[in-house]
Amino acid sequence: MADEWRPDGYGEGDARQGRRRRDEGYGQGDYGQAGYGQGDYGQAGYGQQADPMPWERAAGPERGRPREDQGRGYDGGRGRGYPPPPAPGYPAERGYPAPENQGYQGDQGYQGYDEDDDFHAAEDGPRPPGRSRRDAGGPDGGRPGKKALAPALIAGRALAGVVGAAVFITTGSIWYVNSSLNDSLHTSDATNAAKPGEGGYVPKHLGNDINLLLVGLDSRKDMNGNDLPTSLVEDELHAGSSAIGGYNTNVLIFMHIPANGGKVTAYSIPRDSDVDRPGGSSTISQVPTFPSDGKGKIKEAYGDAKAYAESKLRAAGITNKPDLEAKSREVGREATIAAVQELTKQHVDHFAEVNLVGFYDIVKAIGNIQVCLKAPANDPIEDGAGTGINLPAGVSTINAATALQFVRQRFHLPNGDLDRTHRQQAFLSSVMAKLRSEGLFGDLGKMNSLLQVVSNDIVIDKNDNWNVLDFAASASNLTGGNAQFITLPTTGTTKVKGEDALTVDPDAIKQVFASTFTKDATPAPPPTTASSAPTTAPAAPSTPAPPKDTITVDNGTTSTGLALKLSSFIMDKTGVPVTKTGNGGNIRHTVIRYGAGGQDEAQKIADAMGTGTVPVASSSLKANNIVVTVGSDFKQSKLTEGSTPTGGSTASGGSTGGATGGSTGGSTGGSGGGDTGNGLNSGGAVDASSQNGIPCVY
Amino acid sequence: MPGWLPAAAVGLGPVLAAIVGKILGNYYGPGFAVVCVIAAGLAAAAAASNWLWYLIPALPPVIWLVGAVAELEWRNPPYQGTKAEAVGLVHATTHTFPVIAVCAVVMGSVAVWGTVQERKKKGARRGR
Repeated sequence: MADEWRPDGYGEGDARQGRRRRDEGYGQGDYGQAGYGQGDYGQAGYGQQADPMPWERAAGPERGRPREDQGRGYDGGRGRGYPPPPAPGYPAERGYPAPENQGYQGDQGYQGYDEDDDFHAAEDGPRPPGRSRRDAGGPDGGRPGKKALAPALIAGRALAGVVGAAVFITTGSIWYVNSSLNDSLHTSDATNAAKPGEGGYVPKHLGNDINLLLVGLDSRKDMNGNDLPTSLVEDELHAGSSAIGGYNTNVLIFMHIPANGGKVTAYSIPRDSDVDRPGGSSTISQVPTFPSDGKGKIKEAYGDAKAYAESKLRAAGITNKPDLEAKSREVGREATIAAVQELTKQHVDHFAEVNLVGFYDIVKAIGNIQVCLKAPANDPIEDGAGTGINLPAGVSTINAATALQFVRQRFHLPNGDLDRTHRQQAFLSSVMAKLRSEGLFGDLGKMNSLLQVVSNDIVIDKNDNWNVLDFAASASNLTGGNAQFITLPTTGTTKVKGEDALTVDPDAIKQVFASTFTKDATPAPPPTTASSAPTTAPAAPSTPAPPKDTITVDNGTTSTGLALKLSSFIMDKTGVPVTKTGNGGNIRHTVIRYGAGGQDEAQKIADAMGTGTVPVASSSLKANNIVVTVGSDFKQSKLTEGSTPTGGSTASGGSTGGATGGSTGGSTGGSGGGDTGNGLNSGGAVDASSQNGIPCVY
Repeated sequence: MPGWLPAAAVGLGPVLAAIVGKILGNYYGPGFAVVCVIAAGLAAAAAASNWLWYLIPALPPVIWLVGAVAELEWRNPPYQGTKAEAVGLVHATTHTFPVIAVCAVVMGSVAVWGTVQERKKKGARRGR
């Protein structure tokens, strides 16, 4: 069949025939057509790419074979302007100049076929005008030199591309979110400032536990040193004038987060504690050191060092306000950390600082927060002092502005500043409970959204590449009833620069810290498996039903703050929050009156007080209203019954949990607090596990 | 160049990079980045065009995987607990993505350059 001329091609015949003919042709040398039979067109299909993948090799014969099977030779050459076939009778398989690219090269040719030789051979043949080699059509009539890709090959490449792209996009997205999260925050290197031999230097501890210092700065300035808008400070924050406040660290919470997931212990350091404030090295080049300030209130270490640094920076020619503020604040942080380390002899691994407006913004971004009061809070603004808060006892849902009032109130509280410290602890616990319930800690996106709002008001350290993600992971340890807040014990009061301050026993404090920070915390209980899980789901935080009765407690004695303490007592014993407190003259015998429907509750209160008082019905009271006027027959020692002494130990939560009002021993200069028997007092511990993470405090 | 070199460069280069980085003090630092980039460039230069279809996409997962394992295994203090390890993976991702991006650019550039050179060469031959 191959011997006859075919007008539509250059000889039918399979590849094998072609090769044979080529051999013959060469052997015969009759035709003088070097290009004859080159590549044996049918075989072109066998040759695949120069370096095929294994699966491509497998696919190759599949593509080549049809050509061979068709035995069409290089029919791709049809109609491409090649010289007309020889006259009839001229053997089709002989002497035809082969089109270039036949069956040899990268795309089509089989390996080992010498490209140049082929070309040369082909070039010997006539080429129609206007046609280059690249114009030559492929065997399938498509583009020359291009072969159709097998579906398997396409799928393989596509799969590889999709996987690679997916990983690239995913990692890129995480990188972007995480980077923007951290880039937007202010960072500090203050934890690395203290050098060996300096006061306040404590070597890093062994192990993987984390000591984290939370600093709440009572500053009415932004990060650039500009005053916050008056309207914001006075109307929204209810924080008085922009001119007051300075740079006091009104919140200092030093917490120990065990690496094994054990219970977090958080110590609040009373802001007025009279402590040593050592000098030391600074990381700010223009202020290589800051001086010791001797003894003084720990809250002022920040501001004093900042003022010193600012003067040094100005002397060094730094006048740019944001730069000046950032660097001088850094020295303030270093001084605060040095003072805390000197007091506790524990290394501060990491810290986070938030200022007034930052606190406000955080709460605003989070949304309303639930807090629980053991006694009604009423702190009118008088002579520029006071917060204006007015909340009933029990659980309340408060907004950002009220939250600020809640954590700043220190007047009209049984124990002044110590109760304020408890408020801060309780509020932190409530915030964590809220964040946990909203799943923020496991969601980078939510975290990013929140931090974008507050990024300009928060400073975290960058020690060991610590970033906001690590901070969030550590903070999440405070949730789920896994934290206990304790106020550091104080021993009494003293005067510092004419102001009241709290004395502390540094040795006792070091012992307290050593006992909790340097030993491994109790390992966390093993995770509950499905098979052993309780059948009832744990209760989610929720707002309790409003109390049926409205209870008013009036103080009928000369003992200051007794109504508040009795309110807490009643809530602990009966679970019923007191609505409001007041003064009730000076009476000997306690009186309990009730309106319609309040008899049972009134009797429970009478039983709890143990005064032998018989509640009496009163037609002047509205239904379900109860008024307790406490007289001097009430034994105040009852208020501490069942409370565990504080000063570093755990306080029991009573029926409603939370601070137990353990500090009852008379108010001393606003510090108050019950004596624990060892000369130390600090008020009760705040247990974050109480009330579903919403501890009740004064 | 040996045929296995491209695959070895992509598969083992990041491992070598992490080891070099650790020796130099930071398993995701400059040492890690430089060795990864060299490996990527080498792989792209040594690979045939077909291989590039697979080598370039393989690079991101390999680098990320190596970075993740290194972060979880070598981080001091180590991550403890699932939550901490999840944070570690985010850290690893943050550390490795810039390296992945640079390596991808390098591989792509080398591949394009190689292709252009090849075509020029072919063109020259055909022009003869």
